[in-house]
Amino acid sequence: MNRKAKIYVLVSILLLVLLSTSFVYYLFNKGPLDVKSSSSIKINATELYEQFNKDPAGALKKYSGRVVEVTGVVTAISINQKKEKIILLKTNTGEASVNCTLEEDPGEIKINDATNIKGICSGMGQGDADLGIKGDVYLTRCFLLK
Amino acid sequence: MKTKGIFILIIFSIASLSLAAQKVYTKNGAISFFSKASLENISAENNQVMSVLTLPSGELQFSVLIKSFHFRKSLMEEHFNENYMESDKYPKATFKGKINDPSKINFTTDGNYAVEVTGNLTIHGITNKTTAAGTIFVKSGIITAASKFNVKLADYKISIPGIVKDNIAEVVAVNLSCVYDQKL
Repeated sequence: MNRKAKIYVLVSILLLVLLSTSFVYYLFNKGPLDVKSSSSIKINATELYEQFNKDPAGALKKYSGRVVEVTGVVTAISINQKKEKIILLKTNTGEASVNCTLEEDPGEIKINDATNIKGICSGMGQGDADLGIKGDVYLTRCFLLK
Repeated sequence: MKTKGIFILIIFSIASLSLAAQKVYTKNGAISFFSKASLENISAENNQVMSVLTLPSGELQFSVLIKSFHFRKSLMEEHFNENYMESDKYPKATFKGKINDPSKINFTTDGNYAVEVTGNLTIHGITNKTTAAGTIFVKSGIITAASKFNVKLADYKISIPGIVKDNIAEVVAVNLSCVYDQKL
């Protein structure tokens, strides 16, 4: 192997090492999922809740950990201990809601508004049999689309 | 005068009703954990805790969806869900127990009460009887429960692969706070 070829091989190996190291570093330090630009499953709040109610295991497999875009009617607005807004969307099951924790302040929104929220579905929470309330279906890291 | 009398009677009957067994709950309580280790600290937050407190018996119940925990780094979140907590198989962690001496708490008067809670904690499909110290805060009729406790991963069969063993503490510090703003 002549001198020039040796240099080429050396440089290629170095580049490869550099690239793979930076790739591992990137993977290791990658920030949280960008919900806004992620592709999503579109569904309305009533339908999403019904699916969890009728087939919890199936719905968990289909939606949990996934980005969903949910349309629905606002039934309550509150603030959690981290001062994030919580928007509850109407379902056909009494006290139960699709419970959305917002990552950004949604601006003007009020009860009975029809809205469209994008976030990550965590699954269905636990209810309380004595209270007669069903668990909510939870969405985290949400953004208001309209 | 008569209507005033009836009005007072109604107020008193409502007041006495509220002293009977009552449940307060929240669906958006806060829980976080922190693991200190040599390479880097790991922490995550979850603001979607369901909790029910029965008054005056002090029965207490918590339920947490594992996938509601969020991390600074997506790889941490992925490992937490897939390798350690197996959240597809065990989507929830729960606690069902009781405040040990609820009679010393006046749930209707403002104040802070140091309490001890005993019950069954289920994480990763494993249930252990556990006791934790906490505080009950009563302010303007709203009850808040807060507790800091440690969870030993081995007790819940959460195994850490050898390669990252140094990077994850064996005991994780958990911080819990629920404001019971809903009544039924």
